[in-house]
Amino acid sequence: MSRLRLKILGSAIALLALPFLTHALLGQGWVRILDFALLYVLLALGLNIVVGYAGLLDLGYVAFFAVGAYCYALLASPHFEVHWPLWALLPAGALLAASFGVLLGTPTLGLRGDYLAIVTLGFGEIIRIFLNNLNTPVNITNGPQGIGLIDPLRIGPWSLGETLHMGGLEIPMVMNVYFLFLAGVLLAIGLSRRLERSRIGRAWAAIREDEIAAASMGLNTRNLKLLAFAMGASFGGLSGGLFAGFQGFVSPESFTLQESVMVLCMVVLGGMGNIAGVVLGAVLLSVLPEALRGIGGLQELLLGRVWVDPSNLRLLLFGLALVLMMLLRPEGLLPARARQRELHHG
Amino acid sequence: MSPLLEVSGLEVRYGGIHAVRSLNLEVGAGERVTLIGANGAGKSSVLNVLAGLVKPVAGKLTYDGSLLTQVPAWQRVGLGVALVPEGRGIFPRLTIEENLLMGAYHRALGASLAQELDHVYGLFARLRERRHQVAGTLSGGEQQMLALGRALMAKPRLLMLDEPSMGLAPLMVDRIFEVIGKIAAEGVTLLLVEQNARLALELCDRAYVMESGRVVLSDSTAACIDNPLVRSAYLGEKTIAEVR
Repeated sequence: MSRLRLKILGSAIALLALPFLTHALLGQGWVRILDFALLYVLLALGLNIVVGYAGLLDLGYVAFFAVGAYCYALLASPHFEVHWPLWALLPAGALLAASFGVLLGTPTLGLRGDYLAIVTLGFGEIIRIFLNNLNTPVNITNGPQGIGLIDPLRIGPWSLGETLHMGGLEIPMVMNVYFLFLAGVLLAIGLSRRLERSRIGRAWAAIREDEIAAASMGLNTRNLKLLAFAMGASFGGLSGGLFAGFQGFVSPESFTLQESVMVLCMVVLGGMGNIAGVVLGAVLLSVLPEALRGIGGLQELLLGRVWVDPSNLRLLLFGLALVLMMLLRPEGLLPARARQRELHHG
Repeated sequence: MSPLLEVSGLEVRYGGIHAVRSLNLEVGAGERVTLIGANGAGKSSVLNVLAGLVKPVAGKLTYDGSLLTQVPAWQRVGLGVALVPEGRGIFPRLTIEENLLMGAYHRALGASLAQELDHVYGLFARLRERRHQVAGTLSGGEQQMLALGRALMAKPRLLMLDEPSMGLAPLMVDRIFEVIGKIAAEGVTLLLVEQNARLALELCDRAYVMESGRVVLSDSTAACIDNPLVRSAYLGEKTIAEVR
């Protein structure tokens, strides 16, 4: 067997065994954290297309996550008495998010950098405020109360929201979901890889480097930028749909600016434009805050009692980690090939 | 025979600035034409309008017998109009070969570009040696070669060059102009914008002299070189020989 095949086989086994190991060693709560980490990976991969590949700074990315989540919630809940199946819900969410991506992209085509960031930030807030207020005159989103009793994720006869019994093996909900989310992430990674190495990927890189030169090369910069927005948004929509089905409840509160900033941090910290880096960034930043919850216990163990409230200290340490990371490795943990090349030949 | 490119009544404004005023210009097929003038005379604006990067306020552009005005920038390359932008505009983090391939982006997917690459590498051996290196690591002159090569990948009929001598050492400028001459000899029509008037006048057949957005003079380059006004304004009043 070649080394590559061994590596793939090894990763596959590790990814399959991970939830079981986590469950056995750390408990069900940590498998749940893994599930959320996978949703964040999906979001980070989507934002990476917009920011990392096409170089368009988007600070309202959570809007697409919200669109995907509400799409699922409205089409699979007692709110409208509609119950679509999963295979239709997820593509619908991704497609709707993609059209919102085009909607955001169209008026911002002429903008770059800081200006684009401000407009996208506004867009993210507009979506959230709409979700908050679209309960009158016609109740569409149920306003701040959100939508509950959302149908659980269901594949054929299996509802992933319940404990499954497979040949004597009991698989709890959090683990079922892990495998579904993992499939979504693998799909997104495959797509990102294809895009990165394609003609379109090269064209995005050219636009990122010098938009005027790219336009004078005969690149249709308008369509290419819209495509980046739409592709990136569709990953966000998919992640949102999975989130809604997993939680069983959505409300505008989940889609604040903080989430957009968090996902952007994952992309930048991991290594913009590099898939492995972005995945690593997303996993680290979603697991780290949870891991830092253990600080209270650690204080007791080392200092005899809890001196500083762990919930405050947790955020302080998280912020400190971000600052240190950016000072020491501004190119990200695993920088993109092009950046690395530049640093080594420079 | 009608010219390859005809511009009439061109007006370009950037906000309150009137960059180009009622400009008329003609370039015949196979001709070498230069636009000379001082900084801010509007030369680059003309090229950017022709490439479709800047929208004019008024004016008619005719290329190869059909109206170019409404054609979007990304389709113009396919018609054979290629621009080497001012300041070169290479993609620093892409490799040299990737940069060159971008020049032929309009070509159908999967089209073989080996022949075009060979042609460019034939003109610039240095680029072939370094084709897998990122373009940002090239020297200024090499970057200009790359920008030229990238434009050639589009197989242009009309090649527009915006200040190819900018920021280059004199030896490198000579080398670049030598290649531009070679390209023109292959039958490519040239529209060259230059501040280095002497070089431009030596290379080209006809010249337009622009001052604050207007064409103030158009003539054959030979006549321009003899024109005392051009000599005093753009070539320095006297040659060294005359001083002696």
